[in-house]
This record gives sequence, structure tokens and C-alpha cells, in this order.
Amino acid sequence: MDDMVFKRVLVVDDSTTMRMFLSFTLKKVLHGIAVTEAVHGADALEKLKRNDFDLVLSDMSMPVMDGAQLIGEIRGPLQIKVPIIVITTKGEEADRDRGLSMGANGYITKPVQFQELKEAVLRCLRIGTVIPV
Amino acid sequence: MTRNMEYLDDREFEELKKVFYTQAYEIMDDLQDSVLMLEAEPDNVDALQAVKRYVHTLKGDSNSFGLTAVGTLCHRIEDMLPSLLDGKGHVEHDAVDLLLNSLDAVNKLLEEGERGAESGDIKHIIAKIDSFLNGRGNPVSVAGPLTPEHTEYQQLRIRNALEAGIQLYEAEAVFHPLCGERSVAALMVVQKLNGMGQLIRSVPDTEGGDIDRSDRITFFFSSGYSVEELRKTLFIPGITHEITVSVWNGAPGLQDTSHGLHGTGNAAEAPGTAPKSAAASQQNDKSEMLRVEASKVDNLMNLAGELIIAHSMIEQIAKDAASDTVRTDIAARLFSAHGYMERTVSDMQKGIMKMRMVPINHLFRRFPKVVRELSAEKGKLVRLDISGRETELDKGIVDSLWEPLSHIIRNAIDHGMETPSDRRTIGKPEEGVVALKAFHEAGYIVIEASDDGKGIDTGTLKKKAVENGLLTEQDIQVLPDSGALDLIFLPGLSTSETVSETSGRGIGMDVVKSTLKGMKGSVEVESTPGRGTKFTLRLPLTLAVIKALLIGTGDRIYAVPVSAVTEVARVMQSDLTTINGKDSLVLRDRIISIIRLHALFGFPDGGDRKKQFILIVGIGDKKVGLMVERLIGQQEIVIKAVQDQYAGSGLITGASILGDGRVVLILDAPAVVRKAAEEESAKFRVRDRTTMIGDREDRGVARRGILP
Repeated sequence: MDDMVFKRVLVVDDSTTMRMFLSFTLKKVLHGIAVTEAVHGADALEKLKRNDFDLVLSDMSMPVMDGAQLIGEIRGPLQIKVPIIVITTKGEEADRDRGLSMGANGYITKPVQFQELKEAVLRCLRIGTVIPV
Repeated sequence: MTRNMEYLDDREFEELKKVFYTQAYEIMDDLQDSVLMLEAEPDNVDALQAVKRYVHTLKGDSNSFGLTAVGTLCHRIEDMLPSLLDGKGHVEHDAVDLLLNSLDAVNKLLEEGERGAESGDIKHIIAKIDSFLNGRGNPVSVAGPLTPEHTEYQQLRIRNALEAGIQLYEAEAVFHPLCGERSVAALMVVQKLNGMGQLIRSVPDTEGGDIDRSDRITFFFSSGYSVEELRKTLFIPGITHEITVSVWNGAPGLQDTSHGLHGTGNAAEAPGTAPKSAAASQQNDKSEMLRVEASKVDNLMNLAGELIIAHSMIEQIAKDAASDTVRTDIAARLFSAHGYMERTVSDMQKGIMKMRMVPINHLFRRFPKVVRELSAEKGKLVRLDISGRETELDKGIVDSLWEPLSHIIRNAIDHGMETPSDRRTIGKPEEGVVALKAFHEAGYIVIEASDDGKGIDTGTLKKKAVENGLLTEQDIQVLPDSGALDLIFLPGLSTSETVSETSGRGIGMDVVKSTLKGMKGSVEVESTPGRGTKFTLRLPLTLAVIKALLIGTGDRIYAVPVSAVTEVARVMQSDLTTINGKDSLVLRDRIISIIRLHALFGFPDGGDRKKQFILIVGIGDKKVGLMVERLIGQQEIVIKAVQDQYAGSGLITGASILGDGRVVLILDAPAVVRKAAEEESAKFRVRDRTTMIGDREDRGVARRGILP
């Protein structure tokens, strides 16, 4: 079933390592996934304006424009209803709460566990029966 | 190293590994810079923000990559960051020292990880951080309460398990007393658990400093296995013992999910405003970078070089065709194609060269630490001034400059700089200054490394040169002071420790010289006793292709880098005047001494002396007129290394092959200028003595500071 879908995911993280890691991991989660990378919130906004995405996976702490600001822009001026998953660090719940209160739909914690990422992604993409939305 | 990514194939893992280490080392460099910047400017908020973010990023990357020792140490480093500043705008120097020590430990862990070696012990450095924080009364964060407060995500997992009828368990594992790296141990247990069920949470968290201070860990998870099976699996010899597994009823308040995971479209509140710091925009600049292996760029560079040769061949064919009356139309078309190709090749080659260019800051940034450590060790008070950080040069050159330059800087601090009390006695500021400066000049990059220390005592140098049998008493008497300074580049002089003590200089400067020479560069030294010393390193901007002016005398053709030629004048013999017995040209009220190409290489005059060309060749503020019979044209040439027998004159920097297959030698412009200056000063000397010293050039003595 996984092979039947095609989804576009925007990965936003200032760390090259994390972007590559997430991109590899996402491709294991779902074969039909196309990953676009952005290096911070402002970069992500540019890409969101030009393309449609099925999911945004964003770090919270980034230079130039952080995750909370990005979500604010997406939910505010841009009014895009794309599902957003924020990536936060264990022990930094304030970041997570900020992201969720700004309008993120879910979160995963670093270090990212495959299963956790998979569940969060599939849920947001409304694939499978993990949880009815 | 825990590899938390079995699902990646080997190629992906290797790729990720490469990116992780490259980025980690970059972060470490930037981090160190920011720490030192913060130490210099305690009120620099951007620097503090940058430090925080770099540590945070490195922590996240390392943990995700599975290098948990680095993650753990970074977490502890984060704990101590608030202690860097005392709240009154001052930097706590002992905190900075500890931080730098910790960063060294991180570097070591990274290197070990990259080599695939067992990661070393971080308990020692973590204990240091702990005792530092305890000593300040900063509370060390303790493990969270055992009454689990589950996050929404954890609650979801619990709910899912309950709905699916999967059993929930609580398991406590006591770490084996010999188990050192608890965060790693915990992750090993987590991996085992993940194979048998799903982890909901652990107390303490598997990440962070808490785990390393805890003697046990409790897991909450769901699993289809039995208590006994789980107990067996969680027992890892040498890592865990005393495993208790019990059925768990889930957390209280499960049904009460305050903000769910699936409410889309929460309108945003006012977005928070994060300050756009300088460090942030710096990071932003980097973001669009593409990492390419140097060998790939080198390969392109070589291909472009071949293309330039092919291009010259086409020009030759076009010229041949033009001389044939039947083929003039073909010649015209060839010339136009040639012109088009020239622009393209030139743009392409410039583009490739730019790829290889990096700011010299990649090199300079490593010096604050060297200066800081060495001056502390030697009891000197030294400030490092750096300018021209943004000056670009070839990546290959940057890499090979570290050794010679750090050598010079170390010598400056160790031997050149006086102690603070000595400086006070002689009326100098207690704080000495070591300066690094980089700039472009005439196709070269110039790097100046200077100090305001005691300077070099040429008397001692001369004495030592005689004692070591490198020069005779007679040599010394005719040796000008400027020449005496160059004695420090003599191999024989450099090994003696006593020289370094008495003269203040001299360890391994011959190595500096030979390194620079290997890169077609040069090094000069100037020194004023009591005032300081300045080394000037001069290197070609890039190693491969230059734009050159082809010149000829008789049937010989030479190439001069266009960048070194400031202007070309056509002169008659009558335009020249004789000043101090030398031919000179008066050009815009400036007297420029003339050196003849044929005389330079000691072959006979070509004959026709009525009209000749003079190339004004300038390096720095020194200018000389190079007289040639013929001006052949301007061309891009590929520099090839030459045999020593050609380079023996010290005036040749390389050779190139022209389109018609002829070989031209490339003049070393700075060497030509110095040679002219040298002949000028030699007028006041006994010529055969100077020549004799010149004979020793093969053994490393450079005259007048030029080291071709």
C-alpha cells in the first residue's frame, strides 16, 4: 500500500546531518515520499509559497526564523492547512508546547526513533489505521 | 557507538556519517570561535546565542547519529553555559577554560568515533563539570519524579496499546557497577526493548546528564512478551543486573488529553520574534552551500587546463590557415570560433577556481586558541589582532599554510615577545600584540605575521652562522643587515636550541621557507631590534592557471604573470638615462631602474636595441623595468612544475606549453624585482663577496629576503 502513494514532505532543519537523516528515514517510512529540504523557517516559507506539500517536518530551534515563527506564518498570513510535525529535543518541553500552541499537529523528539517518526508521519498523512482523525 | 539506524543501508549510513563528521567539525570550529569571541566581548549577545545554538545542534546531531557520548557531554556543556557570564557583564575565565577543555574532549570523541574507535572515557570531564557547577552552588538537575507525567504522545501510545489489547509493563534495571557509559547502556536496553515492544518512556530520560548519575533506570513500555522473557532480554552482562519487570496499569488521567495531536488549523498567535543575530545570518550564508569533494574540483581544473591548451592549438591552426590564401575563410571562421571559445573557457576556468577559493579565516580562526594557550604557558600577555579574514585563497594553499604560520606565531610568542614585566621596564605596554593580516596584491595573497616584541639580533645570528661553519668571517663582514636577517632561514642555524634562547628566533624557519617554496611562494622577514618582527608570506592566488604576457628576447620566449605587470612602455635607447651607473627610466617623475631580460639569464644580447619594450613589474611599492625585445601577446597559460636545472636561477616559477608545442618559462615576478633591488645595493659591496654568498643560495641562504 505504501508504494501506491506519493507524498511531498518539507523537512526544515538547520543541521545538514538532521536533514539528511530525516530524509533517509522518511524514505523508509513511505516509499512514495519526495523530500524537499529547507534550512530555516524563511527558506521553508519560500518553498511553501512555490509548492504544495503534504507535510511539514520542522525543527524548532533554527537561525533566521525558528520553528514557532514558521508555524505562525503558515497558520497566520499564509493560511496553509498543511499538517506540521515539530521536532523537539527531549527535556525541552517548552519548545514542544510552543510549537503545538502555534498550530503544529504533532511532534517527535530528538533523538528521533524510527517508530515514533513513522507513526507521527503516517498519522498526519492519514495513511493506515494508526488512529482515526 | 550505538547505531540507532539499522534501517539505513550501508551507502546511506556512510553518506550520513560523512556529513555528520564534516558538519560536527565545522560546528566545533565555529563554537570555539564564538567562545573566544564571547570571552573578548562579554556583552556580545550574538556570540552567546551562537554558542548555545552550536552546542544544541551538535547535541541533537550526535544523539540522532548515535554518537551518544558526544550528546551526553554536550548536554552537560549546556548546563554550564549559564555560568560563563557572572551576570555583571564579566566573563568567568575558569568557566571558559573548562568549556574549552570540554570542547577538546568533544573533539577527541568525534575523532574516535570517526575512526570507529571505542569512545574514550568522558566521566573525567563530566565530573569536572559537575564539581565546577556544584562548587558554584548551581543545582545539578536531578532525575524527574517517578510518578510519570506523560506527554500527549506517550499517552497516545498507551491508549493505542490498551485499545489493541497489548500488555503494558514497567521494568527497572539496575546498572552493573562496572558499566561506565550509562546513557549508552540505556540506549542498548532501549534497543532490546524496541525489538520486543514499544517504549513509552523511561525515567530518567535515556538522554542527558541525569542518566549518568543514576544507578538504575525504569522503563514504561508495551509488549506482547511475558515478564520472564522480558526479564531475560533486558539482562545484558556487564551492563544491567537486577531486572524487575512488572505489569503496569498505565498512567492516571489517560482519557484527559488536553491538546490533541490531531486538531488542525489552530490559528496562529503573534509569532515570537527571535533576534536576527550576526551569527545567525552567518549561518544563513552557509546554508546554500554544496559540499563537493576536492578531488572532483581538481579534476575539473585539470580538464580546464587541457582545454586551454587545446584552445591555443586552435589559434595556431587559425594562424596557419590565415597564411594560406586559399583558406582565408576557414581562418576567419576558426578565429571567430576561437574567440567564442576563449570567453567560455576563461569563464569556466574562473568558475572552477572560485570553487576552490575559501576565506583565509578557515586558517586564521585556529590561532586565537594557539595564542591563548601558548601565552598562558609562557607567562606572556599577548593580544592577537586579525585582519583580512575574508581574503580568499585556494583551499589547498590554506591547508598547507597552517604549519608554517603556526610556527611563526609560536616563535613570536615564545621567543619574540618579552614578559609583561620586561615590557613595562622598557616602557612598552604590558600586553604585546601579535598581528595576522591577509590581503590580495598583484595576483598574490600576502599574509603578514608580525609582533611588537624584541626583534631579531642580527649580531647573534651572524656569530652563530660563523660558529656553525655556515659562513666565514669574511662573508659576515660584507653581509648587509638585511641579508643577515635571512640567515634565520638557514637549515644549519635552525636546529640549535642555544640560538633560539640567545637570538630569540631560529627553530625550523628553514622548514617554513621550504614549505612556502613548495607552494611557489616566498617568505621575507623584517625586524627592528626592540620594535618587533614581521614575516611576509606571499603566495600565488591559485596554483594552476594564470594570465600571462609572453615576451621574447632573441629566440627565447618567457611568460610574465599579467597581474605583476603594471604597464608596458615602448622605448628607444635614447629614452633611457643613466643614474648611478645603471640604465634607468624616468616615468612620471619616478626613477625606475631597468633590468634586461637577456642579462638576467646571462645570454647574449639579441641585437636590435633601437626600439624595445619595458614592462613595469611591481610588487608592493617596489617597481622595476624589465626590458625585452619583443612583446608576443597575452595568453592564459597552465603552470607546470619545472626541473631544478631551469629553476636554478631562482627567477623561474614554472613552465608552460604553448599551442604550437613550444615550452615557455614563467618568470617569478617578485624574484625579478628583488634581484634588481639586490643589484642596486650590491653596488656598494664587493661584488665577488656577494656572489660568494649567492653561491650558498643552493644550500638555503636567500639574499635580500627573497626565497623563490
